[in-house]
This record gives sequence, C-alpha cells and structure tokens, in this order.
Amino acid sequence: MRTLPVALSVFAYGMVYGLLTRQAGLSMMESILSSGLVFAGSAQFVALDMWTHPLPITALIFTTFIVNLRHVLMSASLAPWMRGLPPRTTLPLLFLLVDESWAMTYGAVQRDKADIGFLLGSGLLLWAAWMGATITGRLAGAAIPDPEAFGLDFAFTAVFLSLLAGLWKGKGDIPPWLAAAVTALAVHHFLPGKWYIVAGGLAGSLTGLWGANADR
Amino acid sequence: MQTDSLLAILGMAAVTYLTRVSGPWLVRLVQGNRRVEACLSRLPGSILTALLAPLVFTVGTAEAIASGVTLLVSLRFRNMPLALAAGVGSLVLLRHFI
Repeated sequence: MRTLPVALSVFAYGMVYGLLTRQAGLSMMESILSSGLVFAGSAQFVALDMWTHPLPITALIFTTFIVNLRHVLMSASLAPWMRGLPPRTTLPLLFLLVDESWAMTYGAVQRDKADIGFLLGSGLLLWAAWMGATITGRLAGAAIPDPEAFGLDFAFTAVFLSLLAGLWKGKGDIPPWLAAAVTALAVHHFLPGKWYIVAGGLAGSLTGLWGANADR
Repeated sequence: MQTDSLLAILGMAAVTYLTRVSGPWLVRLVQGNRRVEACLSRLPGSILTALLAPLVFTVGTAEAIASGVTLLVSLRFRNMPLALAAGVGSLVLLRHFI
C-alpha cells in the first residue's frame, strides 16, 4: 500500500516511455519485452535514444550495464536481510529490484516494519504499473496528460526524501550524506547518465573508513 | 520482430539482472571485515542522498523549496503520506507563484 503513490508516479513515466517507443520505431512486442524483461526505466529511455537500425547491440548492452550499476550497490545493502534464504528465493526476488522498490523495501526492513518479502509486493506492483503504462502509453499516443501538471514528477523526490528522513539516526549520518550529495552533484554536472548515483553512494559509504567503528 | 532487436533486448535484460543479483554475492566476499562493514552500513543513506541531490538542487527553485518542506514534515511527523501530500501540494502552489 505504501508503494501506491510511487506506482502512480511510475505509471506516469511508463506512459511517456510507451509513447516514445512508437517514435523510436520499436514494435509493440519489442516495447513489451523491454519493459517486462529489462524493467529498468532509465536504461530503457537511454536505449531508445540509441535505437537506430542497424542496432548497435554491443553498445546498447554495455550502456544498459553502466546505467544499472547502481543496482549492485542497492542489492548489496539488502544482503543482511537475505541471509539464510536459499538462492531459489533470492534470485527471482532480486529481479524486482529497481530504485523505487529498493528504497521502499530498505526503508521498511531497517525499521523492522517488514521482511524482505516487501520487495516482492512493492516490486510486483511497480512491474505491473510499468508494464501497464508502457502498453497504455503506446496505445494512447499523444493523448497523455503531462505529469508535471499534477506535481506527479515530484512524487519520486518526495518519497525518497521521506525515506531518507526515516534513515536519519544522528549526527554520524552528516559526513557520509554530505560526501554523497557533493560528489553526486559534481558528477551529475560533468558526466552523463546515472554515474552520479554510483559515485555519490560510494563516496558516502567510504567515509566509513575514518573512525567509523565506534559511532554506529 | 527482428533477431537483432531480440538479441539487444535479451542482452540488456541479462546485464540488468546481473547488476541486481551481484550485490549480495559481493558482500559475501568481504564478510567479516569491520571496515568494509562500516562502509556498507553507510551505503543506503549515501545512495539515497546521491540519487536525491540533483533532483533537489538542480531542477528548480520550486522543487528545492518543496523538497525542504517534504523533509521537514517527514522529520517532524514521521508520516510518509502526509509528507508526500505536503511536498506535492507545496510544489503545485509554488509553481503557480514562481
């Protein structure tokens, strides 16, 4: 239920994606397969930009990998809650890890409000929203309302901010978060794509090397 | 559907899945190292902050102010739906005036 506002926001962007797949020349089947199997919004948007025949297959795959490297960090952070679970549970489960489901799940498990099963529920809801929206957007064509008109584009930001507030434990959080924010802003300014998430996340976490063992 | 599209999509799906499952595997490799664990404990907040920083500071004045409102309401009331409503509501208002 808590994932619902995020799912709405994902739906709005999925419609935009669906619309753009038509302009980029993907068939209905190709759009559906992309959303269903890749299930990674930002990578799919970037791929649309590169979708010219003959397809640069290697470049597409490599770019997707780079854009999604942040998922390595995200799934690593969930590892403590997956200990003791067999791979046949965790491997399918992790397919559902996207920025939004990760943030919601991490917020819930670290306050003991849920177990890792939260990822299943939130992930499936987001997957359904993303798929439904891709198809709707493709069929609807230009009749799509602008997400900005309802402040929907900000829902992502608001949810993430609220989750960040929930992670706040004390002054010890200031150095890593500051390092992460400054690094992310700098990298965001100079490099395209999603490198800023990886760089900022690493920079913040590396502050743990300095005298961190006492204060957690 | 052409073979090259199918190949591209399947390849993209495979590498994406690889990024999603490799985190826990990497963690297992470094288990027991206290420094690494100190770093890992700071990872989630750092990723979230990194993800947020450009969204908060580079989109526009209205977004930055609405972000401040969202954060304050979240910290004060610890209630996500309320914080969401406050954030999105203040943004819609701010966009009217800025």
